Amino acid sequence: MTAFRSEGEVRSWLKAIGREFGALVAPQTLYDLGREWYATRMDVDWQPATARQATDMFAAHGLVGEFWSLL
Amino acid sequence: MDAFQRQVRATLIQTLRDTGEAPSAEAIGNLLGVDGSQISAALHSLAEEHRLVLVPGTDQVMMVHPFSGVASDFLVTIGERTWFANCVWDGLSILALLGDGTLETHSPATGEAITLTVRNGAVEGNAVVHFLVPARHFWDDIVFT
Repeated sequence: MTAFRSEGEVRSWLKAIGREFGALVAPQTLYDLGREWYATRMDVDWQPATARQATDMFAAHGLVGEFWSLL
Repeated sequence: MDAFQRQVRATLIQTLRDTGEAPSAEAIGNLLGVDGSQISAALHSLAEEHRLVLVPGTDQVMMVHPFSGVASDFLVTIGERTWFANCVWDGLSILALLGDGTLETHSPATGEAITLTVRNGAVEGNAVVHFLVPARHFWDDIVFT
């Protein structure tokens, strides 16, 4: 996941490297998602999220659709 | 993960959080009072389970998300403390977990420096983040992802 100045810059880069467009996310969304996604990661008893839990977490931050589904 | 592997993983990630550097297997062993070879075996088991990533052919931790154990283009700074992250998402996540600060990276398209600054939980900076790989394929090649 890399940062660009604009969607146009992303599309130019993808064309240059021959890759398909994926998904764009605002930095604030990733910050908010990260707080939840990694909330218990430093704990000894941390358990990875299930596919359902992860998909629901993405959806709670507006990241929905096939690209974000782990199901 | 068994109980020992959990302890190893937690010690690793907590040390990285507290120091900014990934401890060696020997250093983790010293903290837990066990031989480094046992730590090495646990690290490799954890890598097989996708709980972390090792530099190929070594015991050196490359990734224990959200931290990077090696230098990367995602530098997180909070006050005098710094960490490397694995990507923009992880860099912002470190800030979300540990406090306001900055994430410095570069646009792959132009090489231009991009700095995102977090103040009171609000992210400032002119940038969009592109995910190349769909979520279900994140771990197909996690270094590429």
